[in-house]
Amino acid sequence: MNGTLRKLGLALLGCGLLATACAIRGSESVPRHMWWAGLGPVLPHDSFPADCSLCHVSNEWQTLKPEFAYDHEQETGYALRGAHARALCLRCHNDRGPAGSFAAQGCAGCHADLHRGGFGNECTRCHQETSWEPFGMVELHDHTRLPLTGVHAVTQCWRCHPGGEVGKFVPADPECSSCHASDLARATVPNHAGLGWVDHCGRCHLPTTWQQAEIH
Amino acid sequence: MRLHPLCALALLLLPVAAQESADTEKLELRVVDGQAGRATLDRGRVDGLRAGDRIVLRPREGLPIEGRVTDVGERSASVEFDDAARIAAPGTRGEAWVPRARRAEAPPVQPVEPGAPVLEHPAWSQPDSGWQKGMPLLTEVPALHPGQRSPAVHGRWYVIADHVVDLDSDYSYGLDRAGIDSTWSNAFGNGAELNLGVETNWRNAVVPDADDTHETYVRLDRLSYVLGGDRFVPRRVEIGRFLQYGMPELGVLDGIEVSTRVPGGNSYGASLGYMPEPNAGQESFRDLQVAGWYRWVGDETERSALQVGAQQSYHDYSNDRQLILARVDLAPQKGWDLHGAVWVDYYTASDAAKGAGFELTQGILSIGRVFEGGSSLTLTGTHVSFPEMERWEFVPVSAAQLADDHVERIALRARQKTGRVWLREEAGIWTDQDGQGGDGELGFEFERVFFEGCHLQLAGYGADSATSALWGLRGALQRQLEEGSWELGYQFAQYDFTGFTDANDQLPQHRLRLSREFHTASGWSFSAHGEWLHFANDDSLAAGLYLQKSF
Repeated sequence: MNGTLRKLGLALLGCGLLATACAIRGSESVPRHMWWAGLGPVLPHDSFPADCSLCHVSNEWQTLKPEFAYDHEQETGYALRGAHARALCLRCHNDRGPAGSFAAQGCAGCHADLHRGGFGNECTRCHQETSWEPFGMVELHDHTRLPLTGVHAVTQCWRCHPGGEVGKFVPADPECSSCHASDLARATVPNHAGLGWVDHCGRCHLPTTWQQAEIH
Repeated sequence: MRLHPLCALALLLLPVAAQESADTEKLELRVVDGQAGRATLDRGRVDGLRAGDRIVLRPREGLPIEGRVTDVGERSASVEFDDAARIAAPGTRGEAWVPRARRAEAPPVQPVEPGAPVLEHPAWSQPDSGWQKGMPLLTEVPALHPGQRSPAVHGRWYVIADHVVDLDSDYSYGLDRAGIDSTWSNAFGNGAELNLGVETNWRNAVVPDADDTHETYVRLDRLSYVLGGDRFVPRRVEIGRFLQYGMPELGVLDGIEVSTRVPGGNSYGASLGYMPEPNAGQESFRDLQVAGWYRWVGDETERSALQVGAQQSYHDYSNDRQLILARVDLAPQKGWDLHGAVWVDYYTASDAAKGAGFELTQGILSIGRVFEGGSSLTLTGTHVSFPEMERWEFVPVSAAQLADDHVERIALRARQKTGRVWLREEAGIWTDQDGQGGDGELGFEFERVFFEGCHLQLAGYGADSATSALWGLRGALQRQLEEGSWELGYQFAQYDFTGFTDANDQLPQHRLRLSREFHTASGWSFSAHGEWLHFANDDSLAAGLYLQKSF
């Protein structure tokens, strides 16, 4: 097993070096208004209308007019949806760097990845652009080892994934006793532990009900 | 009189096409001010515009507006539209075709009357502020440093409630949450940021024949001070409680992280501090860690990057976990995206369950592409096993589970559009220490059904899971509105449980869900959902509310 892992490690190292070689390239072609060049306004104004007062309050170029409106999709070809359409410009266009480079990194370019990289970059599998609330968890579990049957479909995530409150999800063991150890300890009529009934719960129980037991 | 569509198109293109020639060139312009039948443009004599020139404006909606220049200033011009009823909004783009020779001309100079006295200008009192000969008089606009911006507080507060009631027993469960995420930018006039993220949980469970639980947790997710990390100060320092910025895989820290971005975009960093346990209690100061990382990027667009990191942790000041991390991100403008990350643990002889050596404890690799028209294809592979460590990161498991448990999954997802219908396919296979299984789903998404903005989704799916074989159908009707959306969904699933007799192994399950979401331009968001679940002889109701204000 260790030999296989060592080979896997070497293969990963080789891939890493290859990717590094590809990644380390000159930055001569970096256009203006990127991270370092020019240090001008956070947004390039080259293509903006010549009349500054269309957007800015006169004599105060850091302040936008109260009636300022900007069609992001029309002007840039990049549509802002959901909460992004209501965000302040400086939330994305600021001194941390060009918004384009952050956008190229996907959601994690701007938003902290509370899942610590464990779910990859496909945030929209569970989240929408309108709010942080995840959606479609029951449907998503139809593609796992443990589809959510019965009461499991309306149970809070953290009951099976402790750590889910802070975004740290670890796969739950589909074995019943991994989550229901305390229920097993309480099962004294009959005495499950005394009779050695500590696994294969499915021989007697259906995983569907809040009731203590349904013998089949 | 009705025009044939082709004739109408020809008439639309005629005024533009007629002006194209080798002697003219396109002058892009914008409307500065518009009224019915006329407008002021942001181009003038110096741009080659003259009275009598034809212009075409192209508003975002509606047909182009044609007109003629009536009056020309040095840097502005007035136009009258052919259709006196048309109005062009400020900012509307347009163009004129002007002779090349005219663009090359110098702007006309007002003649000076012979013999007029030449006035001497008094000495300039203002310094040149760094201006040197050869530089344009209007130099580039200097950028504001973060410390020069006005202090501002932004973020959100929210309230979330989720409750479940079982209609056939006394069981009920509720989780209510209230929290705030906020950033105070330029908090102390030095460009630094102060971040706060805190949430309160109230958990209530009424369980028949068992002890009810009523718990309250106050969770501090973030309280940190960030200095630098912008284009003026490439070194970034964050101190407090925070999710590590340079490499989130390293986790939340009570300590300090220092990172630096070097010219070209590469960056590196290190961190030192305690790791709070990833749960509601967030007990801290038991797990000390030291970590470092380096990130290479292809160029400053950061569309390709490779990052490696290492973390050494100590549990109660005893050696605990040696973790090596690597991630790669490739996201070219066109082509295939690739994202991958690996967690490799290094064990010593004292790690009894695993034995000395390296182990890939977690990995994810995703390759995907979005094609022209929106169709997409994604292949994802994951691997997870339990790392051996003293720190609490998951529910304690037995030594056998620690040694053997693992799960791998490969999934393929595709989405294609044909007319107003999206076709969606998903297929996956998994394997773990006890067996293997798979799943598949075929779905259709119909756009603009019944009403404008209304979508209908239908899908059929099946799976061979660890506990059952199942098949099911689901449908959802969703309508997008100006200020939100609503959705009505229904799901049916038929389960065939493993290990039961024929008489007891079948379970049909019905699920009905209705949700409504609102949001306003002022930053309010509100959503509510209700769900009815019927299975076997049991019925449950679930309801949830979500209220958020962004500021």
